[in-house]
Amino acid sequence: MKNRAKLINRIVCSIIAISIALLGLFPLVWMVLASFKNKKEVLATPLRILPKVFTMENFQKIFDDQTMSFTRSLLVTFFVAAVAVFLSLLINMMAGYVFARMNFYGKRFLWVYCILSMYIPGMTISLTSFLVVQKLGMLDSLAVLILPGVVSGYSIFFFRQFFLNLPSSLEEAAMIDGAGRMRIFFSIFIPLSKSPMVVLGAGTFIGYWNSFIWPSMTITTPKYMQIMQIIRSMRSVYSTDFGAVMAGTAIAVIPPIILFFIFQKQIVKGLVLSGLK
Amino acid sequence: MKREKVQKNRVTNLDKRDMKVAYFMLIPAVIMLTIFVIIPLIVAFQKSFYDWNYYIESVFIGFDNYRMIINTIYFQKAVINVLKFVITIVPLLLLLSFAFAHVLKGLSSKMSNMIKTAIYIPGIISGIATSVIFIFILDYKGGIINQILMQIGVGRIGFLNNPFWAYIAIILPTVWVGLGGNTILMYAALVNVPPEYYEAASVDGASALKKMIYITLPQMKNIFVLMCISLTAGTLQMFDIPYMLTGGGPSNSTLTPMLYLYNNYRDASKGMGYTIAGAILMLIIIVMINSVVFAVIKSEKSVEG
Repeated sequence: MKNRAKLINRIVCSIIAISIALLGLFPLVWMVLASFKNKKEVLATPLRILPKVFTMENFQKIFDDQTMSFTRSLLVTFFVAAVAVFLSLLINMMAGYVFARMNFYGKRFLWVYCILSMYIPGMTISLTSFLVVQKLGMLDSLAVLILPGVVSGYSIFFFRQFFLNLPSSLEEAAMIDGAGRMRIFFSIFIPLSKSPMVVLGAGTFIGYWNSFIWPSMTITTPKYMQIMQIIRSMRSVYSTDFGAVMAGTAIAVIPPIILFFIFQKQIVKGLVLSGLK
Repeated sequence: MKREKVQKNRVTNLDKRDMKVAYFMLIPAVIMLTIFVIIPLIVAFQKSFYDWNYYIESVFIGFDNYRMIINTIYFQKAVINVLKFVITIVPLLLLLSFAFAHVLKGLSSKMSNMIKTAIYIPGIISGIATSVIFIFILDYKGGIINQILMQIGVGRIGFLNNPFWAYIAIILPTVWVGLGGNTILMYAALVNVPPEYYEAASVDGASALKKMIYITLPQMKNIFVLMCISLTAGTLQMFDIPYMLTGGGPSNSTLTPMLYLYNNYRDASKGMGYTIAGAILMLIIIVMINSVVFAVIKSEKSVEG
């Protein structure tokens, strides 16, 4: 009797959950379908779910558009995000290690200094960050895209927390063998930090890939246009040609989704950790 | 005695070398934070008290910029709009994710992991891409929602041309993006509630509603507070979706403070200090809200410890 109630409960929950998940994925499926439809079919009335003829013309159009430089933007955005991930992991990990395992004067002050940025919303200081990078002559450069978001109080906090939980015997043994701090960090701690690296690396990559405000303030040359800027201008250039806009958007959302599928377990775990602290 | 002293000296020497390494490893982080966070912050505070633009000499004007931004009708409207978004989006997401977390709890673990993955995907898509997808879905003529509304005889809705529907049109993708992550958090908190509590209540014959009121809600109080605060802080900074979907329109009904500041920061006609003053006001409000999170976490820790 009780088991049957449980079973029914499970079935009802499954049905609700699956329908919500499908509803949630629907906009993405709809986008992909639209990208394969020709101009007539995309907004056709009455509605057609599947395209009558699968066409690649939308993709051809956006990749051939010389003024848009879609391919170039994908590559530049990828490069920017990849370099940013590398730098941010290295720099934040070093800082997290120092705060977790070493003693020095001014530690408390520097700690507050470093994690202060966790409490400051990036958007509100982007206006004056713009003035600063303008003064430094950094507008329209790769550096202005990469550097400002590299150091994050949150990442430092996260790495420190992780290193605090590692046993202190790790470096004691190495120090007796005469290894220096840097060697201990690079040869013992970095190899042990794969899981926080995955969580923060994936988060950083997705953040850079999706960023729009900062690039739109600092980049005007087509050479360094970020992918979301291109999507934005596609929307105005192709206005009602939704097939082309959806094709571009579909490609632009693929890298974060692939990354998420590869590391989903760690990312979800990291989300829960960061939410519950 | 002597040996001990020698040893102590050696330790401090080692410590000193260690300190140098520590500073060395911290240098990149500190320099970058200084350039991209601290200096902009200082510049922002300073510039907010000056009348200036690229072409004129800076003049100190005290709080005039703040007065100007507070009295700007569009900024006032933007603040009211964003508060409206806060009081709808935050409860909506809390409620939906709380309910959905209960649904997930009723699933087998394999199934719930699959569902979690599926619902989190919208959360990793950029606001710009999300908006473009919803512009397509909400299109007046050929958009799928309007087509369905036509089929069932309701008739078309001009989602982006009418203030009320534009407001709904912005809430829709915002909830779509936020539901997955918040549900996962709620679920994690929900399964953390010790099952013995429920068992004991069942033995006493408590109803499901009573269990909810006396066990689930008190046990999950903290996660509610934390999520409420972070959602509020996030919604106050709303930008991408209104920017892309409605551009703040129609007639500024979906204009948000960040969108207003973004649109006007290069406008030199009124001097450039007043948008920065507006940014500082937002910053103060958001930092205040964030620091409540900090206080909650701290009190929680002290209770546990």
